[in-house]
Amino acid sequence: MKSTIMLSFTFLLMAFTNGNLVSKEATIKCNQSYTINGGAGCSYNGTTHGWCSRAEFDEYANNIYSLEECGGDGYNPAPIGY
Amino acid sequence: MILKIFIAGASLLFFSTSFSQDIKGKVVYDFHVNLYNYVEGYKYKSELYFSNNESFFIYNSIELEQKKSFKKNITYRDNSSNGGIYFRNFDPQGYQYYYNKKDNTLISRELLAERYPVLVSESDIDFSWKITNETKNIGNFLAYKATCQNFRGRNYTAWFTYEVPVSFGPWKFNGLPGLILEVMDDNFNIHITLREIQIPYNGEFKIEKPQENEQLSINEFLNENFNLYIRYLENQRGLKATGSIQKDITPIPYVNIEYSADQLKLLSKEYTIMIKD
Repeated sequence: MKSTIMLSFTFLLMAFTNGNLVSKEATIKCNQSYTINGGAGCSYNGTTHGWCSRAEFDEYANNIYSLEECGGDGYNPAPIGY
Repeated sequence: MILKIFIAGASLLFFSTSFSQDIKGKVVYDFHVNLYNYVEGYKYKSELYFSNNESFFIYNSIELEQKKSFKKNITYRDNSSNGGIYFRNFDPQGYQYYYNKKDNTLISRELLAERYPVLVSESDIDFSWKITNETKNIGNFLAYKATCQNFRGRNYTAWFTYEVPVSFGPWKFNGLPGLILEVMDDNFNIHITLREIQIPYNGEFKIEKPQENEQLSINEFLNENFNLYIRYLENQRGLKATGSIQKDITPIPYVNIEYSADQLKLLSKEYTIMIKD
């Protein structure tokens, strides 16, 4: 009985700690501000979108580009730095 | 002293004789546009062609840029960066500006909201240039400084040379007693610099009136451009209300090279447009 209670307590503690870590990590990595400036009708300033990496950001920007019909050949057509 | 006067006189005679005949010229400029106050905007390649009475200027063109688009990381003038990106697609035909000196008319091909091509006509453009005695050398030319206050919301400084006595220049700029070699606005959002000049020019010559189906006056164009921005904001507001977009997204402000009188009134009140909760 004692061991069952201890095991459950340990499991709960681990889950709580792990959850907190994940949450903290997400906050640090993903609570970022950003600007997407693709011209009139394709521009955003914001924070806390939840993208954590450049690839995720690019994916998000690509979605914006499609949704807003920014024109041309689509987002991500040239490497950074032209 | 007499020799100097003779040389100056001979030079003037040479240029006045040269330009009284048919003359063709081509000027290549770098058109720096940085409307959002980033550390660095974009340096468009641009070209001006001119004859005695007409000029044609073009930029934002796939053909000139030799690529379809650009994409850069955003860094603000305080050197901060928010990880964002700045990108544009160039246009197959580009922004085109045809100016006729005889009747002081300008016909341009612009893109409404950077998307929809239209023909914009305007006449009697008056920059009210004030020419000063200040000089500097640009290439091999002695350039004189001229200033213009509040041309559709911006104050400009231009550098022109009497050595090429034509009244043309890049973008819409004209009306000085010599070719305009450099122009900048006092917010450092626009800076046009000389890269190359060919007079006489014997290569492929492009002076043509732009063609588009939809035609607008300059006021109609500026107002419609702004209306499309407002419509975009309203669309964003709708998307936000339905939860389709993130709550904390704010469109970047409306900026343009030139503004209508009504827009200037809004700007003078430090009017900012946001999607409100």
